[in-house]
Amino acid sequence: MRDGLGRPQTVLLLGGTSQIGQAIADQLLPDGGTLILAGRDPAALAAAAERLARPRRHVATLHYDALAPAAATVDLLAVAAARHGDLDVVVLSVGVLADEAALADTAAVEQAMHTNLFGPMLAVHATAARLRAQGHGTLVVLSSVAAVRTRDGLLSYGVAKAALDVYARRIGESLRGSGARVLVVRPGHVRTRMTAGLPEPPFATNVSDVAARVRRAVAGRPGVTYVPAVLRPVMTALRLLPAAVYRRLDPAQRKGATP
Amino acid sequence: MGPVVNRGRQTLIGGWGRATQSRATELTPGTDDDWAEIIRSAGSRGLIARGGGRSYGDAAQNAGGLVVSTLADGSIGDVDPAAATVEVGAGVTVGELVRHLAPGGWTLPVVPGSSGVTVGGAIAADVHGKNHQRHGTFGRHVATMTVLTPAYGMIEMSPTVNADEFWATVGGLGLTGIIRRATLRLIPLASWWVSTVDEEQPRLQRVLERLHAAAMSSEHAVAWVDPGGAGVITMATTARLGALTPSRAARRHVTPTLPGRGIAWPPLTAAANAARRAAVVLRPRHLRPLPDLHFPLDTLPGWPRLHGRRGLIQHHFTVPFGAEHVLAEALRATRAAGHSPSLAILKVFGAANSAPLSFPAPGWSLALDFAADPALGPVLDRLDERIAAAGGRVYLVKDSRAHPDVIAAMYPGLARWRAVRSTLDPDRLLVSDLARRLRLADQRIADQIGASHA
Repeated sequence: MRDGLGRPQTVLLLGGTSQIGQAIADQLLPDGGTLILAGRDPAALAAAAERLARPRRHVATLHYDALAPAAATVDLLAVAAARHGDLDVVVLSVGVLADEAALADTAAVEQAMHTNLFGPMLAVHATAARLRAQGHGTLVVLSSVAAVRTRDGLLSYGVAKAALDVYARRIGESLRGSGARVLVVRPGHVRTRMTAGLPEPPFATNVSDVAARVRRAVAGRPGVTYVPAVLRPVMTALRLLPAAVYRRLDPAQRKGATP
Repeated sequence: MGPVVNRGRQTLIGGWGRATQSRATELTPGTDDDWAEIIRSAGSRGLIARGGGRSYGDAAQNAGGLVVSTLADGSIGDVDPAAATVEVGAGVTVGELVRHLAPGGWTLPVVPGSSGVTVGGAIAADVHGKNHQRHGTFGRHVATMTVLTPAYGMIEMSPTVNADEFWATVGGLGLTGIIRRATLRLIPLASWWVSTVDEEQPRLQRVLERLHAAAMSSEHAVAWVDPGGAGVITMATTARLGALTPSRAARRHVTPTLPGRGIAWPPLTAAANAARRAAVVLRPRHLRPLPDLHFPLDTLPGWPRLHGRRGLIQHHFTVPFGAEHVLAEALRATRAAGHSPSLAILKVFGAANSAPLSFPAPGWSLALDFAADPALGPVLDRLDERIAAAGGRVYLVKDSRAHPDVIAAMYPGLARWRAVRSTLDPDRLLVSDLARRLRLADQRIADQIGASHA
C-alpha cells in the first residue's frame, strides 16, 4: 500500500535490466520498500538487484519474458503480489531500439514487433486487470516521443510505441473510478546503452531526469508526461506540421536513407 | 433480505487525517443475516468494519474490497446498576454514550480524544484517555463482547471466556472479527462539570516532572509542548458543582482547506503556540463541561483541513520512563528538518494490559501532528528506529507511514496475535489497507503461496 506521505511500498519493474526502468524504480523507493525486478537475463538481474539494494529496501527478482505467452505474464503478476503484497507501482520498460535499416528480413520485423508491441500490450492488459482488482496502483508505461511523430529511420519502433501508447492511454481511461491509473511517459532521446552510438537529436536527456519526472508524475495526476517537459509543445507542433515541411526538417528523411 | 453487494459502485474512503484514501464498496448492514451474507460474499479483497471514521490513517480503508459500516448498530441498553454495566451496539459513538449515561449518574471510565469514535472502534484500537495511569485502556472495561468471526460465526468473548480471542480482538484493528455488541463497565459520575488548572513550564524536563506529578494527583492530566520544549500541563478534577444534566453540544466550526502546509507552516505554528501560552497565563483556571475536557478534537473538526491539501498525519508513540531523550530528540529532529509539529501532546501511561497489539505501556506518550509532506518520511523513519531501540512503539491505529519490519520489532506479541487471528479468520477475509501496508496478517502463508506458484 502507498502510505500517508504518498510513498509507494512495492514497485514491480517489467524489463528489470532496463536502465531507465531501474532509475525510475530507484527514485520511487527512496526510503525503503520492496523492488521486484522482472526480466530475462538472471545474471544481469542479480547484478542489478545487488546494485539497487539499500537499507530497508528489499530487492527481489522474477523471470519475465515479453515474448512468452500471455498466461506467463498473468502468472508473474500473481506471484509478485502473493509474495510481496499489493503492487503499488508497475513500471513497464520493455523494448529494443532497432534501426529500420537493420530490419532487413521480415522475421526481424516480427521479432521487434513482438518485443516492442505485442509483449508490452499484454503486460498492460494483465497489469490493468490486477490493479483494477486491488483497487489502487499506478502502471507506468514507457512510450516515446516516437509515438507522436514517427520517423522513417525508426519506423517499426515508432509504430510499436504509437500503438502501445494509444492502447495504454485507452486502458487508463477505462480504469477511471477504479482507484488504479496509467501513466504514459514519452521521453525524447535518453542517453542509455540502448541509444549509445546514435546521433544525438535536440532535447536529449539523461536517465536521472526521466526518473525524477516520473516520480513527480506518479505522485500527481497526469496521464501523459514528456521528458523533458519542453517536448510537449515541440511534439504537438511537429505533429501538426505538414509532411512536406516535416521532411525538410529531418535530415535522415531528406537523404532518403531508409528503404 | 440481504444487502446487495454491488461491486460496481465504489466510493473513495479516507482516514480522518485526509492523507490516506482508497476506493472500496461501502455497505451498511442492519441485521445479523445481512452481516452473514456479507461475510459469505466478501471476495478476494476481503472486508473491514468501519465505525465513526476517526482513525487518522488507513485503518478503516480496504482498497478494492468491502468497507462495512457498523453505524446501524446504535442501540444503547439499560444500565445494570448492581453490576455497573451497560450493553451497547458497536456503532454507538462514545460521545452519544457519555451524554446518554450522564443524567443517570454514570459514565465511561476511559474515553478517547474524539466523541465520534464508536464503541467497536474504541475496542478495536484499544483507545486510551488522559487517565491511563488510573483506568488503563478502553479494553480493560469491556466485560463481554459479541464478535462475528469468519471461522466460528458470532462468539462471546470476555477476559474469562475465550480470553485469548478477547485480547486479540482488543486492539486487534478489526482483523480478528467484527465487534457487534459489548457490555461495558461504568463508573459513577459526580458532576457533568470538571475544573481544570493549566500550568506553564518553560523547559521539557520541567514539563515532564510536573506532568508525572499531575498524573498521580489528578483524575486527568495532559500536556502540550511547543517544538522548543516549553509546555502547558492541564490537570482536571471533578467539579464540586453536582449538576448531571449535559450541556448543549459545542457548536461546530466550518474550516477551510488552507494552502501549502497550512497551520504546520513554522511561523504560523509558532504564533499559535505563543497565543495558547498567553491564554494560559491570563486565565489558568476553568470550569468546563465534560466533553470539552474529553474531546478536544471536537472543537475543531476541520483540524486536518488546516494542514493543507495533503492532509494531516499523526505520529503517536510511547517510550518507557528513562527514555526521555527520545522525546526531546523527536521535537529537535523534526524542527531541524523544518517540519515542526503543529501540535504535540504528552501523556503518562501506566501498566500495559494483556492485548498483544495494545499500544499503551508504562512510560511517556507523545502525539505529534504534521502536515503530510513527503519530506517528513526519512525524518520519521529515523525516529521510529530510535523509538524501537528505546523499547517504545508507535500507535498502530494512528499510523500511516511506518515500515513493517520496525513494527514487528516494536510489538513482540505480534506473532502470538497472528496465531490467534489465523484461527478466527483462516481465509484472511478481514483485511484493511493498514494491515496490508504493515504486513499484519501472517506473511509466511503468503510466501508459501508464492513458492507454490513459482
